Amino acid sequence: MVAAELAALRDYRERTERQMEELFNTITAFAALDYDRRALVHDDNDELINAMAIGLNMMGEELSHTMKALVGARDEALAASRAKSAFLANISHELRTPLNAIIGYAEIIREDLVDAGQDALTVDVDRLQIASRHLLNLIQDVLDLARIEAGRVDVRLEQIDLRTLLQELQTTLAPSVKEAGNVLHARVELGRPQVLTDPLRLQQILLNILGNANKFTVGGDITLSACDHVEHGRAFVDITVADTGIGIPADKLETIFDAFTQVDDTATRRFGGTGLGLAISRRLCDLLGGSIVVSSELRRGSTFRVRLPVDGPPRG
Amino acid sequence: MELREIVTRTERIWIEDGIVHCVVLPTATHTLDDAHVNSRAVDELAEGRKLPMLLDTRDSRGLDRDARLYYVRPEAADRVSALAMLIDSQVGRMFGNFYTNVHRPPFPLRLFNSESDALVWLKEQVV
Ligand SMILES: Nc1ncnc2c1ncn2[C@@H]1O[C@H](COP(=O)(O)OP(=O)(O)OP(=O)(O)O)[C@@H](O)[C@H]1O
Ligand SMILES: [Mg+2]
Repeated sequence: MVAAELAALRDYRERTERQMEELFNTITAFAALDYDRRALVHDDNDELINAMAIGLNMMGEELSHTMKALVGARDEALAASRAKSAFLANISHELRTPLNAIIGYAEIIREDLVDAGQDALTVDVDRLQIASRHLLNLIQDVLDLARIEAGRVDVRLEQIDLRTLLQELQTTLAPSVKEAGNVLHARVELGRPQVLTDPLRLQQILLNILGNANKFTVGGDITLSACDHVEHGRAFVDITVADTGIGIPADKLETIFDAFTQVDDTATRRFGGTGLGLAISRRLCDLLGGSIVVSSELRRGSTFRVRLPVDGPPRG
Repeated sequence: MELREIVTRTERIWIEDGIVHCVVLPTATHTLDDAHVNSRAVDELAEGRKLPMLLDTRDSRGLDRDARLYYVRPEAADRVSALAMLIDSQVGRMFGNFYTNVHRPPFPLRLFNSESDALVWLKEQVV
């Protein structure tokens, strides 16, 4: 009697194991992201096993469907984004060529006018040149952003003397700072001014931040400082630009780093620009292995801090 | 009493007291074609009426995704006024849970452990 019960028990166990095996194989396939595997449903299976098999099969079908939809959507989005960036890069290049010709010819006309003693007429040509240069800068910005987004920006690392780079920036900006009635202060306290970075890109970042500080401050102070910083045993330099200008509302502190985003439309009309500067600066900072952050108080002023690794961006 | 019954490859279907009864048979592959055939059979029996339906999936061996989606397509609401599913079995529960959470039908759906409770609710759903 006991022997018969034991035998029945053993049979039951073997049967269940056989049925479980099918479920196990299906789950194993799913775990390896093969969602096309289906568990077989047999008449003589236990009901629970069949219920699990049916459930697994439905799950596999739904997962397979969802995965394909997601992969498709991702590929489409990537392709669209690449196409957009490529288009922007191409169109920007096409626009720059004739614009450079316009600027060149305006220069020639200006010289001709001066030679012909028609100095009064140069004002109009100057306007033409200013507008063209503005347009050229804008196109350059769009091109930069498109290149960065398409992953087509190469970073050229060099060992540079940060002190010299900052000095040059001050000289470049001196006229427009004076024009805005601002005063530019410099506080450079660096143990070792050598930094491995791309000087052109760094210049571009700092020119934009300093340009912004000067644009949004009237009759105030702009302070450019640099100091050492160590984090997790890695050496950085912090370059900060602080102004005493109009400030930035707290809820705009992150969005100003998005492309084409400015604090408000009235400000745009007052101050000009397109809202690309900080978007480009942040992406360039990323490429240099650094970061850019801002803090601000409305009507008191803003402080932008660029933090760069002294030894350049992490390789690979 | 209307008791004409249609048996397709995958379902046994009849109408009783104004309620469509569908019992899913243990056919191994319940496909989109089967779903078309079953829906036509329901239409034929219902003669244009929009009726509540009792669905018994206890013997089902599963149906593929296209078939599932067909049964819950928006237009299905023109033919079915409400659906009661029997879930007094593991397979039934699996389907009940699936239709509740993944492919929701476009008409009221309720899950029942007993057929008599289901019929009481369905009678209230006659339009
Ligand atoms: N120092 C600052 N003080 C106040 N607001 C600022 C300052 N810097 C940036 N902003 C705000 O952030 C916005 C975005 O700056 P960003 O440099 O990206 O664009 P922009 O200067 O308007 O145009 P662009 O740089 O493309 O010519 C500015 O329009 C302004 O509203
Ligand atoms: Mg700017």
